[in-house]
Amino acid sequence: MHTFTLRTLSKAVSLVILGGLLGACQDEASTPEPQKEASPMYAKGLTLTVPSDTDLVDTEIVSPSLAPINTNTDYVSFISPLYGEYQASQPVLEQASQSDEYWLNVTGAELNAGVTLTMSQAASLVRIAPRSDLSSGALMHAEAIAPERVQIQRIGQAPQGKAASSSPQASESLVKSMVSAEALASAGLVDDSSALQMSEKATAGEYRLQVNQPLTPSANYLVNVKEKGSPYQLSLKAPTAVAADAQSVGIKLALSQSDNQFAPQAKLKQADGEIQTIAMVKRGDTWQAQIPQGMQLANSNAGFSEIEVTVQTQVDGRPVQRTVKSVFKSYVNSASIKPEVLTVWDKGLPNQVNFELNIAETGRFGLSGVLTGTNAEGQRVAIMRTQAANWLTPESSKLKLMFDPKLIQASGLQPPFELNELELQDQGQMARLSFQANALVLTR
Amino acid sequence: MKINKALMLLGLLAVSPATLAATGIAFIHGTGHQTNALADYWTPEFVNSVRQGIPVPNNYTVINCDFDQYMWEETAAGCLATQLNSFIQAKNIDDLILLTHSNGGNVVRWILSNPTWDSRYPAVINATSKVIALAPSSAGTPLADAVNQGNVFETSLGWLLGYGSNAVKQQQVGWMANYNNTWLYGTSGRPSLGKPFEVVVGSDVDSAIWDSDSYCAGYQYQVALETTQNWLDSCSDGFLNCSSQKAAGTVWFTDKQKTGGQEPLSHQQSRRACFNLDTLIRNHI
Repeated sequence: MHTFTLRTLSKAVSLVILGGLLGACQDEASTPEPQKEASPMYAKGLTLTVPSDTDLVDTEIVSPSLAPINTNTDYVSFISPLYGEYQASQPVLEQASQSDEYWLNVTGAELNAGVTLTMSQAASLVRIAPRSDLSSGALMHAEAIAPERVQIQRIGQAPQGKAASSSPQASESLVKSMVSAEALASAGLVDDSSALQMSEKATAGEYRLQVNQPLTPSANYLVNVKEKGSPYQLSLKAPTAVAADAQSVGIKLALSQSDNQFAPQAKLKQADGEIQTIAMVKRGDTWQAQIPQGMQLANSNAGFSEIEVTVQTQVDGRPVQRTVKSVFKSYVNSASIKPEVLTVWDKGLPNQVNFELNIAETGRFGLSGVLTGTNAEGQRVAIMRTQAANWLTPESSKLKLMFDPKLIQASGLQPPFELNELELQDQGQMARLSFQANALVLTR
Repeated sequence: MKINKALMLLGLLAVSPATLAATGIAFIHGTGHQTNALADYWTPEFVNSVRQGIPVPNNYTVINCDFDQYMWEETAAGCLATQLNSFIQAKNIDDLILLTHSNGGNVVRWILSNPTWDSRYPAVINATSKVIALAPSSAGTPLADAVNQGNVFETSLGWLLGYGSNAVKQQQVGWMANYNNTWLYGTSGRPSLGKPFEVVVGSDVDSAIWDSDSYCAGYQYQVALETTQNWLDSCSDGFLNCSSQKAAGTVWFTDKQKTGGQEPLSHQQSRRACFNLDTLIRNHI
């Protein structure tokens, strides 16, 4: 006859808890069955560590308004073995980009009448690309421009270009070469654009670009001036993700070789190509792109939104114009992780962590984390990355991260075991919702 | 009698396909909607040469999917996973080599990085032993940025990028940086892909009309290459900067280190039997 001890009582209670817990879990096939009294498996409640200042954790949740892009309803769990001393990684929250070019939108009528371009150095490239127009309700695509029908002249001087003069010397003095849309497409520029490579004689200054080919007056074109190697680089730093209800987006701008003040102009471009003008306001050393009330930062969960910033100024007497863009994900914080978790242990090793999420709407959510153990020198060593995702509802919002006991045993590592880089994703929005570098110390 | 039955069963199991695991290779195209990638993207000459490098050369598949879409879409990664799983099951592949070109490397990285996105992905990851990525557009290309400037709703047909598609948007430099920092593994500071991702880098373009090498899937328009060079570094394959090709995984070799005649591989040439590329891959796998 077995003696009924406090320890067996504790085990029995654990198994009851475990049974209830596992019953609520989604992956029946891979869940270890709670065994009889002699089972070494038990459950233990733990609490996530308090997020640090560098963690991304927001407990306020909001319902998404855009259609989800991943509606798979399967529970999927995956474990990848990791080796070596653990190197903690942090998500990149800021992007940097720089530009030595600018672009502007013009109509066919404007190109036929002539548009003014600024160039800050010799041998710039001028590209003219037809663009689309939906203003009539139907998609209209402008026709490509034959480069030999383009003329370019320095403002205040006689026209230059093949179409402008019968003198070969004159026509070749400002334009070094010209490229048709067909030729550019063969080299990877597939937007029907044609280009003029300016010569060394086309030095910094203002130029007039005119197209002699009759164009549809309302047709849209893009004129792109590229100044490779220019010392005048417009640099931008901006966030990689922006909350959908943000009223402004902070952008740091700097033009190299210049301390001049400038007044940037900005446009919001959504993933489908729709563009709207937005205002820029300076606060301290940061520009704020103002998002008008009612304007959506994104109209789809697919792709990214962009803010294009154009700057015009003078540097050392040269006209400098630059366009640079930021790329960001617009998202809503549709879920958060509840700090109380239930860990399951098997033969003294962590087997799984069961999370419960606060979610605003039904959707597909994913969790991932890195399990580490401790070596003889007391260093944290990575054992595995564990990931899981499932279709969750506000009423059924549990998600478990599994561990592979064979990998833990093979590692030879000892406690404390820790769960790091705990990341919550909304796969419907394709957005990272939270990240905690050191999320949980797994104590038996 | 029972013993005989048991022996027969054991014999059957011994020769059953389920017990004969095998090496296989999949050819995964780049941007574009392919329906006959063997003829239209790779060429039979290249595929038939490379597949001789595995023990059973017939264990190969040429993928045909719609890679004009975002990498994560059903018609892109979903299609790829379906075709790979069919191949894995049909041939009992447990040592799968994925040979990708250009944006095909991004679609494969998507699957390797996001096993929980779709229940078809884990089986592909588990079977994969390595990826050989020919000129992958891991950090995008400034040419994709250029064709997306302004209000782009559609663009004309081109042989490199395809239409003004979501795949082209995806390969803008800033977009790939964002994907690399959030959804894709394998770049600096990000988790490892978990499988070797061996990169062949194209570093230059020979296009001089007097150079016969430029006629192996070569360019016709020298002046067009000079124009696009305005967006590219001095080290590029005419479409992708070397830095983009090297952004994920590890470099197996940069073209001139191993190619016949130390010739560079342009972006077109890195999917063709040019300058012994096919032989190099065949001997490597």
